[in-house]
Amino acid sequence: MSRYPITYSIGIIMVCTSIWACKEELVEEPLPQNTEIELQHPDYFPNNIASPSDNPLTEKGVELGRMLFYEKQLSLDGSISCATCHQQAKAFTDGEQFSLGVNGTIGVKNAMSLSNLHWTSRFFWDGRAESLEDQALQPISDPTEMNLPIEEAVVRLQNDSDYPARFKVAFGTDQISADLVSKAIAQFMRTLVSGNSRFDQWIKEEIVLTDIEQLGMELFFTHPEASIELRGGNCGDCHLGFLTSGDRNDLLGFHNNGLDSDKNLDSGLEAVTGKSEDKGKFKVPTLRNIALTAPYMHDGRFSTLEEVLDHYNEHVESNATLDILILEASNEIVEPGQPVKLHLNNQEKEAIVAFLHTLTDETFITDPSFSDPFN
Amino acid sequence: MKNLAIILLVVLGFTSCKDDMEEMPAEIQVNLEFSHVLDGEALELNGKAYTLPSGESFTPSKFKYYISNLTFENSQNGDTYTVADGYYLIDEAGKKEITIEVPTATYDKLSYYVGIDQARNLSTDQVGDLDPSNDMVWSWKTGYKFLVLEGEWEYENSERRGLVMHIGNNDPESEINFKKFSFDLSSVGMSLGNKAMVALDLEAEISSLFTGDSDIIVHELESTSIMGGPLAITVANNYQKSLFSIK
Repeated sequence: MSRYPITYSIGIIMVCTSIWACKEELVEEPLPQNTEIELQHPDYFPNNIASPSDNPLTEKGVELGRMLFYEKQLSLDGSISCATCHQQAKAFTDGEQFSLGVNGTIGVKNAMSLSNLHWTSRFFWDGRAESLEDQALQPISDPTEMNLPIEEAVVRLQNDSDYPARFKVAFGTDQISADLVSKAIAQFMRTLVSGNSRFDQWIKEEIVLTDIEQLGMELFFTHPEASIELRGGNCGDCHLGFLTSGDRNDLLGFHNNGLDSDKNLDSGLEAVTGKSEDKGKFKVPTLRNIALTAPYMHDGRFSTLEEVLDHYNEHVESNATLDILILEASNEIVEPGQPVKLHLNNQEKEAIVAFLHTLTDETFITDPSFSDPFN
Repeated sequence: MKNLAIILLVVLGFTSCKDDMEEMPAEIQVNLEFSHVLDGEALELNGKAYTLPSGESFTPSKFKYYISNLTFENSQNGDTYTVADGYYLIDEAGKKEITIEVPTATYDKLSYYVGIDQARNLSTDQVGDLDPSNDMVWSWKTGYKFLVLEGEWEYENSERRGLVMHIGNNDPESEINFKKFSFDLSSVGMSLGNKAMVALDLEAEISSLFTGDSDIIVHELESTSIMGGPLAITVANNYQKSLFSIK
């Protein structure tokens, strides 16, 4: 098999509308300089996905978005920012089951890791945001999070001594709007690319995995077929390919993974689509840096990866919308009527956990361009 | 631009087509439109139940497959044209149409494969609809799933059960499940060569996965995940016989 050597896409394109216009303007009043930038990522990530045409990545847009991401003025009492619950060292999670908002309010969902967001669609566990731009504003105004009406957030930024000029450079206007705030934050979040884990180094043939990691990887990407003794951990059916995230098409990246019985099933995607067949379906998160993002699941119910493996192996609850790729996955021949179990052995579970640790990307969690610009 | 094209055509018409007023452009645009049926009924993925050849009830939720190596052939002179880098994911829930440009010539045969040839199957190349992070990837060790059918089945009031068919080449050294489909265009009056644009309607009958070479009776299967091994070969041999027909 041929694996791609990594070649990062480079490419910095001057954003000046046209060479002639720039030259003329420069003579009298220099235009604020901003350059369009191309998202840098490993070649083997899908390369045919465009950024939104109305929000291309620019150097100054990303820079502004980074400031806003770390800006505590965007919370009601100035106590927290996006980064409070999305901490770089924890792959942009906070280590809590539920995050604390202003005034000690507590959320109902686990803070999601932020990485490789360009290659995913629909945001939040229930998929209620169709774009990253749409997602970016919701935690600001959410009463259980930053609890600041977005109009008030815009007023604060407009009255700031620094921000209007930065919006002017990034977007050509110093009239700040909710739309531009969302665009800037979304640009910064798009640059959060994790692509230098040991898994990536293995893909690039720079390293070999240990035997147990290798076994774990093979199990991870295999759906078992007991009748031919093809053993599999059944993870890759939902956590697809190099990205280990969900299907980008339509709502196909949402699955019911058997956490609860019908009686206790959380609504999930049903809350967005209104369809009963979507009840209990949640967004498939990327597993990159998963060893850093405990606790796990939409409600943070599992504190370790071992517990997660135990769930998929032994404790899947059958319910009306359980994904059939989980329903029909076992390493042993199952008689009709028997509970859904994967039947991995302990060594196989350990191997999958070992593989999951290869998804940790030290470069990503220490990259200075993602860190707090106010420090 | 349109006017220019018309002028060019007119000029060409005067200069080179004295005898033949129906001068053809250099390429024929071919549109292949795929439609999917199960037991003769149009496929829907919204909970509608169908009857399998075995008589069992089946409610499909996913049906998709890769089409590759499209080749047009003139059986008289042996000329062929193969679409380079043509890897098309046809998905009941997504794209069901292929538009290609074929050099103008007379063709009376069309063939294509369901699946990915070995060279690309074990690569991370992103050509056409190939994407090593999409839902059709098994892993880059075993390559792509060539054809996917998933759904729920029912037999004598059994509890909720799924059927998962992921057909590909489990053994990367083998191309056993990489199946070729050939069509005689002239027999359906579709010979290419005298038209600037041709539309071909291809219908895929999902029942063909379950019968033909060897019958698949779902409730008798030891495992209703078919991922490789003999059962996958049986399914591929089945559908090779009569999956597609030109309408």
